[in-house]
Amino acid sequence: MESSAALQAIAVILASGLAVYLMVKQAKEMEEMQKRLNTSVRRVTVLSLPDGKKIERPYRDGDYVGKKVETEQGEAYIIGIYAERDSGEKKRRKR
Amino acid sequence: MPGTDWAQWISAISQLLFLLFFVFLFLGGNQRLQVYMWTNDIRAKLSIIEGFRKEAEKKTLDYMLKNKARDAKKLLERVKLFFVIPPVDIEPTDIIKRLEHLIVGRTRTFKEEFKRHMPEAGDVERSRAETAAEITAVLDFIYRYVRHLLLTGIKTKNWILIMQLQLIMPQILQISETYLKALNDFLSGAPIGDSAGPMVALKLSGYETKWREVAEDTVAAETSLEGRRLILIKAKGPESNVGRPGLAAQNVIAELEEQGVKPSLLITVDAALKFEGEETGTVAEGVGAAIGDIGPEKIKFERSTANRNIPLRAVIVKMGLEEAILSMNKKILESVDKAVDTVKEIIMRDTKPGDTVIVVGVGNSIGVGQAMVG
Repeated sequence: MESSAALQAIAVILASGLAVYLMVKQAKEMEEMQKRLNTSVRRVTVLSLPDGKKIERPYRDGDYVGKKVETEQGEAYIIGIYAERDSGEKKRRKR
Repeated sequence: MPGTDWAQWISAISQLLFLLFFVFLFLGGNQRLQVYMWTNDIRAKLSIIEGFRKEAEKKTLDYMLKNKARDAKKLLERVKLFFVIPPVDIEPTDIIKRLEHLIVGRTRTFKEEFKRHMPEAGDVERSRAETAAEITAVLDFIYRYVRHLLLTGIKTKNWILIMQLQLIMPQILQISETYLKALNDFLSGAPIGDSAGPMVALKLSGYETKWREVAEDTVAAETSLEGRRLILIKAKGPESNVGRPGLAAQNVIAELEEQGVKPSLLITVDAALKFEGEETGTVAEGVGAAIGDIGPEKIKFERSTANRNIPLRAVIVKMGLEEAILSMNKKILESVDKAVDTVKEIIMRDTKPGDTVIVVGVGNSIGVGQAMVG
């Protein structure tokens, strides 16, 4: 009698534990999503210099591909702009 | 033995609870409980989508107000609730013409409204605000539609509907999250993954070539490649804009016909959705019009080439949905050069010196400008 009561009590505890685990898991997922939304994005502008060399600099508002800009080495064209998201985001996208 | 009495009581109560539990199961209580849990889960995720919607609305309004928009809130409310009634499809005659009429009407209405409400802003800022408002409208629609399904499921006690909705909620949440991120990226003005097509056209032209408008928000430039005359078409940038590439190609072909020239080849270049597991930035070639349009623009490519027997080729840059609407990543930027090489290979292989080739870079031209004539 005593052992069957103990077993039933264990079953109830396990079921409650599972429910709590699932709730915590869901809350964690939501938290992760919030983190993903707050990931930082680094934008980089790629320039082609008159001598054919390519250099990169941080993206500035108003930059666009095809724009002629002044650099220390002379006039250059913006030939590309790309964004880098932080590693956590990259991992998730890879998955 | 008081210990034994307690054990007997616990055993009796637990057996009674077990019995009640079975009665609960037989009366369908388990399903009710499950539906209750599903409903709560949907509500929790819906509240997140509501947060996204509010954030998008705030960011869009802030951007519009920063650019001196008048009655910004009123305009955004109108955009959010704006709808297009699809044309009658049980009578297919002229359906493309009717569809085009509706799409063009919608685009022009938005453009005129933003011009009226943001007279002091430049074209680039206005186009960004317009796209941001459209993204806000999408998030608003997702929120309202999911809420509608949930409330309908509860009201009609449709457990299947609630179950299906709960199962698909993670995907809906992910799509909403992507849209919110895309809003930030569009407001930054940098090129997105979908800008790969216009970037290919610009790279083929060289950066000093002058472009002219050949259709609404769509530009063309002329250059040469190893004795071939190359006519390039793309949406006008750096505004957030997809232009009318099909109409532009049709106009260019008509212009060439007036000069007594028949193009030997038409190549469309666009970003295309990859399968899960495929490498981002893979460049592939095929036959047909590479364009994600629902019909009117795509059919213009097909008709104008089929009627004149001009070979129609497609080059695609593969990427995921998220990558297509978010700021361009390095992998896609590198694949633009591969796509340029592929286009050149096709031209060299399928045409001879003296031929005329049209290359259309399809996609959103945000962050991809050009030098205009004059």
